[in-house]
Amino acid sequence: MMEISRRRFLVASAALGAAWGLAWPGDLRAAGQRYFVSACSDDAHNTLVRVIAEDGRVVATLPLPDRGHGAARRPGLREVVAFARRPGRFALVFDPLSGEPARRFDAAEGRHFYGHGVFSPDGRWLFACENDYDNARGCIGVYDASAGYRREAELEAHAIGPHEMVLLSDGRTLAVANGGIQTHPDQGRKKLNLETMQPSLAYIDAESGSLLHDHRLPAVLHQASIRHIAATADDRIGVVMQYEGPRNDLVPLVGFHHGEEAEIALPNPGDAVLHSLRQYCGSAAVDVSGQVLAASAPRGGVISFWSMAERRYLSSLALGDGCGIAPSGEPGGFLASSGYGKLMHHNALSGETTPLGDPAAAPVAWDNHMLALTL
Amino acid sequence: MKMQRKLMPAAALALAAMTGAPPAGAAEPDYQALNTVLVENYVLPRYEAFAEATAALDDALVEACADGRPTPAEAGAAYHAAMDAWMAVQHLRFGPALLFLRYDRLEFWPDTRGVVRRHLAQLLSEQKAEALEPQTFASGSVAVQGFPALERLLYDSEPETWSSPFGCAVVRAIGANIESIGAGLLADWRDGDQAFAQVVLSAGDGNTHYFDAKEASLDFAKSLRGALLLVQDYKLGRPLGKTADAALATRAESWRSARSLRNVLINLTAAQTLYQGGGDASLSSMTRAQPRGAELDETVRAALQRLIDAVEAQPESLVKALEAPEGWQKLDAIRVEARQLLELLGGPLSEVLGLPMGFNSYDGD
Repeated sequence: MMEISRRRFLVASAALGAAWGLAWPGDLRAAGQRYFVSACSDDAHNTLVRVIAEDGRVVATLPLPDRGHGAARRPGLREVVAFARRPGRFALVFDPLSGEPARRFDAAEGRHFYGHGVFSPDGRWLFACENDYDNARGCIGVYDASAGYRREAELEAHAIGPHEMVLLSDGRTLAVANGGIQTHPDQGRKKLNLETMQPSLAYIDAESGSLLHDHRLPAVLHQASIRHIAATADDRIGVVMQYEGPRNDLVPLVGFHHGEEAEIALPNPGDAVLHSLRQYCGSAAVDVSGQVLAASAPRGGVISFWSMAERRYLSSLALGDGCGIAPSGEPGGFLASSGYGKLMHHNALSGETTPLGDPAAAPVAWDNHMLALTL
Repeated sequence: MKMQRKLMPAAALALAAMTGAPPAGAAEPDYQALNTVLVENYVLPRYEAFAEATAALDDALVEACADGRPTPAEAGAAYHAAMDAWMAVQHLRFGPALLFLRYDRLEFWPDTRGVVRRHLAQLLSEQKAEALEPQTFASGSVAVQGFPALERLLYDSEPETWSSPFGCAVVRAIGANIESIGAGLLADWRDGDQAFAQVVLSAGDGNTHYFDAKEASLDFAKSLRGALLLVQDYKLGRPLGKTADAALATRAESWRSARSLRNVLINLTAAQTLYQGGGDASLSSMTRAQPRGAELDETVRAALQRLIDAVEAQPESLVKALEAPEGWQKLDAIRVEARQLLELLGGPLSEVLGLPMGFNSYDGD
């Protein structure tokens, strides 16, 4: 299986070079140094959030009250918000370079975070995916970062289980991955509506909260939870799914969408690739050039790479329990992390893989998500 | 992780590239063979033994109740034998064990809010015969249905419990209920078209429960870690507390019947057999067949044996073990050893076997 994917990879990368002729827009390497933020856990089961440089060197490690999940960068400032993993209620605000203690704010009464959020381009508003669990309703909390993260408003997610979202280039349209799965903190992480779940990709106006348009999967795929999402600078979207149906189904787990297209495109990469993903994608990221979507599959132990333009499968990288994925500074490049503590750089265009690490730092098991930021 | 950093960069790269895939030169772990051996030689015999022991317990309780009050002298041997058999399957928390609240009905523990005491007292004081009708009893409070309630009645009851025939009626209801759960577990694993043994054995072709054989093997790997976690976190961690001053023996499992550490010993032995009992098709031999697996396998085997030896050297009663000189320190050392083994299972062993059993992004979101 992995031998096959390596061969495929070579074919695919040759095709990439020919088809695209290395044409990506302008200078993509923003000024400043690139950093990565990820929740993790150390040998003693302490839950942490760690900041690393692009070479893997540890910049800062901060304690978290409980297991973390995703993080969001506040534009224009040295400020990151790390969210609790669902059904957690804390969010920590910290300077990723100073190592100073974080400030904390919590989800509102009757709400918990799903673990992801995103800032408005001016850095003032933080949007957080939340669960209004007593009403089995997904919502988006709106926090005023300039007022100590006071919760100012709440938007409808227009579906159950908004898990991750991106803000599009207009600065006001949120594209939300609504996983569709109902949970209640009284029952832990138990899934309460697998028979009837209806995941969606919803485009929501962040100012009015109104639903612009939303997109569902074909009825036979209603148990494919649309959980994670990434977008290019020109708003082309990749979504990745987790399948809750019978264990012997092989279903598409990576979808593409742009603008007002009616359908989410679901390319079929073939049974071998679908099998390698084991019905579960954990995280999505787009490279800095906007050409490559990375969809990690920790249960399969692979990171899969897809062409955003052609909407097709390119290649896979074997990484046991690999889930965290974030764009590095180079076209086609990603940092990938694993629950076994591995960290590596992989370029999906060149096929080159470089293990990273920090011999001086205490080892950690990396959690699901990595955030890239430039400071 | 530590091992990798000592490697030369080229070797580290090769290792990194192979993670999660069968490394060149190493045998692809035969998950199907592992599952077959574990179902046939491990799971089924253990559930058969449990079903037999619970049936014998049911009989013994009926007999012991003939004079209106069962004593440890009359029913203790059958109680201990059934508990021994339960401890040998307690860590197999998947498949039929998850149905019908069987797990909690057999043993509602840890009981942090004294629910067993309250619900048992209520049952005894209300004296409603219909509450003991098997269907009603089985669908009532889980706290009065299993071993903890029976243990209280046998070893720590109020004299007035036996002033009416109802006390013994409760004992018999518990015995019949435990017997029925034991029989149900065995039947669901072993018998019929839907037998869970078949589900595990046919996992290689994919079925509604399992994506493939590897996914079924993961349930066994998680059971191995689960056994160690039960011991470290619950069975030792709860009574020992963080310091000797914080120890509280009555937080231990089965302290009334003075068998807390006997439970631990059986759990650990079950973990050891699960890891290395399968001969050529065992988690142990699968580990050895992988690069850097031989050393890891030695380490895991040695740690399991040290743990078993250390617990064997203790009395069966955790209360007594704590009263002995340096008692807390000795038990704490066992707890530390168990924690270190857990680190090994969740980290390097998971990685080498391709079966993530500890903290991972796999159980993520």
